[in-house]
Amino acid sequence: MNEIVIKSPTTLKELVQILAVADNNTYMLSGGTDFIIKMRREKINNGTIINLKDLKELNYITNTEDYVKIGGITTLTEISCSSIVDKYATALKEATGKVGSTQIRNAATLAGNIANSAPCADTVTALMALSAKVKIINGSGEIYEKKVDDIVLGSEKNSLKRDEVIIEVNIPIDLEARSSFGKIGSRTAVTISKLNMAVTFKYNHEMVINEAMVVIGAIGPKAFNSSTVANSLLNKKINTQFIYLFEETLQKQVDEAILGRASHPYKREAIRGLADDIMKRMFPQIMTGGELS
Amino acid sequence: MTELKYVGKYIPIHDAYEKVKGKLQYVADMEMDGMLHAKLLLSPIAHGVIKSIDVTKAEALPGVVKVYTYKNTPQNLYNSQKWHVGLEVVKDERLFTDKVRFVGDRVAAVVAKDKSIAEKAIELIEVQYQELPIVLDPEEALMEETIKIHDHGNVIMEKEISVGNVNEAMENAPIVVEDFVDTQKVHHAAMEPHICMTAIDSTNGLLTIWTPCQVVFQVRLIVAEALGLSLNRIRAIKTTVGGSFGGKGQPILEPVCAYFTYDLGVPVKLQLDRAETISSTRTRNATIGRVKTAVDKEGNILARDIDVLVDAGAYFTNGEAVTIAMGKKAFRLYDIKNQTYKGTAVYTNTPIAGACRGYGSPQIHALTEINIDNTAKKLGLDPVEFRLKNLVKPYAKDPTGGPELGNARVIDCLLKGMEVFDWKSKYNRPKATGRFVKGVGMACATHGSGYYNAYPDFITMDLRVTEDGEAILKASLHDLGCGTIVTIKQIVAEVLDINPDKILVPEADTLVSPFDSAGTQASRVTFVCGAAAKKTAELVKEKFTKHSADILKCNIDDILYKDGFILNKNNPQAMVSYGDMVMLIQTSLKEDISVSYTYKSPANPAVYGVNFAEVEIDTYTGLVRVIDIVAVHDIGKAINPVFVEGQVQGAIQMGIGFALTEEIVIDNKGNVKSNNFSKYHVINAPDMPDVKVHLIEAGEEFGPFGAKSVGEVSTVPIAPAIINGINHALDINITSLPATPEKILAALNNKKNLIGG
Repeated sequence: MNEIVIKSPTTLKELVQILAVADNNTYMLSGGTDFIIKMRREKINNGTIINLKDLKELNYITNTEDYVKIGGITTLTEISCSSIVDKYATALKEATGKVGSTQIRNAATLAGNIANSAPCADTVTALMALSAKVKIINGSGEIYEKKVDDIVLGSEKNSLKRDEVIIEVNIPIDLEARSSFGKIGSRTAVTISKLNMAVTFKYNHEMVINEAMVVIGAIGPKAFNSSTVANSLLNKKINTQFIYLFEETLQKQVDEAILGRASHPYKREAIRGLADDIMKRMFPQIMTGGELS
Repeated sequence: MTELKYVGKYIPIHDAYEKVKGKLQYVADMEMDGMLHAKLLLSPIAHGVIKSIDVTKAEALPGVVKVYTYKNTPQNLYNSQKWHVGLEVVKDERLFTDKVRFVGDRVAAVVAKDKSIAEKAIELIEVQYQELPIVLDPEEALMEETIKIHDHGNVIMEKEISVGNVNEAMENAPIVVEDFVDTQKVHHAAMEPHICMTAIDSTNGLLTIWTPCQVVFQVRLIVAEALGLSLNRIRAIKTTVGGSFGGKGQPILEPVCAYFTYDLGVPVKLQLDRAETISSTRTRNATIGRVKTAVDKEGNILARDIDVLVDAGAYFTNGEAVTIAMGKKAFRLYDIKNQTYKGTAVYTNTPIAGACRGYGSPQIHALTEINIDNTAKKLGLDPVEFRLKNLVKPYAKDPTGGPELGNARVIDCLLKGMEVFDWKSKYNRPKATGRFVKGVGMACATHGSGYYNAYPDFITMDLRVTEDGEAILKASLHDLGCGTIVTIKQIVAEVLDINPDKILVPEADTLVSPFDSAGTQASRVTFVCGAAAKKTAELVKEKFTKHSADILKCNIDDILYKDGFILNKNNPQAMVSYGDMVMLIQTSLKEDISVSYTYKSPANPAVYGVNFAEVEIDTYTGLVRVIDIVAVHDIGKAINPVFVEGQVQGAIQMGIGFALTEEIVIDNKGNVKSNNFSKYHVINAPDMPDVKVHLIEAGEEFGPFGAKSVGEVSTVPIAPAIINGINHALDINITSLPATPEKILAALNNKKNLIGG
């Protein structure tokens, strides 16, 4: 029989009870911006939809000394406007502000964007660069943490079991680190990334990098953490010459990742634009030169 | 000339309030008792013969009323482009086909109690195809002899238009510049996807069709031909349209949906979604063009040779007409004594082409205007100066013997735009060397004002002054959102001196509207239908004056109209209102203040547009941002200047997409990859530049109050202006639309390698 049952738990306790009986035809509905399209495309017309949007207790952005904590149903708009996220997780603020349209950001949630695991998901790239973890609850009521990197398998696949739901995203706070995110689409706004990138840098008072994380999205089934690029930046001083090194190693990384693919010639060039955007945003005083406007 | 009271003023579009309040009914909002819903099964392959169709499972699904295929529907051939009965065209379409020719061809349909049942049933139809090899590339279609998309071969037509002696002039010319420019298939991107509703009207037994169409009489004709019915059995009603841009010009769903109702006797609605609309309705024709321009050293054009290959897609529709239309434009912009245009149209196993705003003009001008810039560059001339030497002057002759150009004011447009845009200083400023580089480009374009000299171009109008002093104009008018209804009201109001609010102008309905030969096509409405409204109103006024003189017992010359009253100027105290006068005339003279008049357009003047564009290119990512546009139009007279500006703003939005981002991308199996708006990129608000619109209002003899067209020409010059701007900024030669970031970076790399090597 074709039938869709929608369950809308209002507390985590109710959610657990519903998850306990989840089966292969159980779907999680958060903002719905990807799910509704998927429902139509895959002709999902029977099963259980668990509507997570009534779990008001999961709508928050807070921070402790060590973590920024974002509740599972918090929307991308709320995150992109949050001063906490701006302060401790700049890359995430920038990424959430660039997903889709205003209307999409008003509905879509961070947990949903992670679970949807699209290759071009902007927030996943940023979260990976921020070493974010997610807190999961399952049908037995157990709560545990996993790395975002381990949840996202890519190509719209995740490692979540049928009875698992992301209830919180945790981003470690590192006051010595700075992060940023950039993307390239087909137009300025309301665009799907052809390429995106997020970085986290730690550097000393002489502007010498001592820790780096560089994550590139939309050049494979999922965003990946490029240790090659990150390592090449270590012990380098951030100055006008730095950008050339950064661009060059990024281009090599793109060559390595997608050489031979139709999109390769474009992406190996365009990644320079991302590097330039990110460096100018992070270090506007240092990265002058070149632009005439 | 006396001062105009209504013409030249802004009056809001007639349904603005209802649209904003969400009160207006589109076909999607219409419901009827017992209405069924249809869903189409479209071909998943680009070329093949249907070996078998099994519909038993679909028919067995509860709620399914009937499944239709080629086996149980009329197989009358028709051509959806045919808008008047005398048009001789190849007929190759049918309601449902047994041989599919593109991904999206109509294979079957389910009619069911509701939409979701119809959708499920579609999945249950089992079709086996014998796949055939496919031809996607028009150049391949030209050569390919064994793979025949239609029995009569892949080449639809070849046509040459020629004046002077091109070969001789080319041979003797000191400079010849050749370019190859290709343009892509684009989607019209109207907000409202294709839709249609049909029912048998129980009050009169007519097979009635509600459709957001451009030509109701074409809908009636095509349905009659496809179903084998007499015209009198069919009624087509134009509904509110959520955008068309040519895409709803050809009846696509109407004959199909009408047949379901004809067969079942009940109302049926058929609605496509976006993906279906993109892949299975109509597209702009893709073209591959070659142009050679010969000039002397002073920059006078000596000769030009143009060769365009037009991709008509899987069915004929307007493949021939659009190919010829393109050619004609090439002779009406510059004064070129020796010129040849050769146009060839071919079938391919790709989505069907049809009318799309500009009707070939955006394609031919992309080809020629990019080449004009390259020629100027070769000459070392400013492209504006080069154009000024060669543009047509007012009342120049069309060398092919085409309709008179009329008061052709392209030079005025160019000079005005040059000044407003500050062209000289922007064109000559030093180029930036960093990541972001700015450049400027411009282009000129021409288009027509109707069908005169090509196809029948007349309209009958029926205008009457009512007993309460208002007026009703019955005519087959289709407002596509451009303001046609208000424009016509303004014209009638001006002549009759009646407030436009008091004039009722219903939209087209074949049962009540007098005949019109061509509908809302070919930029004819304001120029032809507007002139018809003016002439009809003048005749009504003449009649009103004559009878009023009888009533007031004075000479015709003594009659004055003033603020809704009629008076004898020798006895101004005795003022009679329009309504009272109508009543007096009815009572005393047994006459009706009404006129039915058939207006035949006597001209088809050229209109001109000149666009100036400033672009900024990100040389790292290849992304182009259009930052400033000046659009100047030779419009004769703007009946409603705000509508004109709206038309131009929207046209620029379409044209930027054509230049930079919009493309129906087809993979090597014939599938449309960009079949929804996440992959088909129109320019949205954040990327829209400031568009400054300027009008040259120098009047046109046969236009109402001097007006001529603007709806189509406004989307023509923008794409080549942008491409010329990119080429100016980067010193590259992009000649393939759209100028995607990938193409721009490839061209930059190419340039680097050339310099480096």
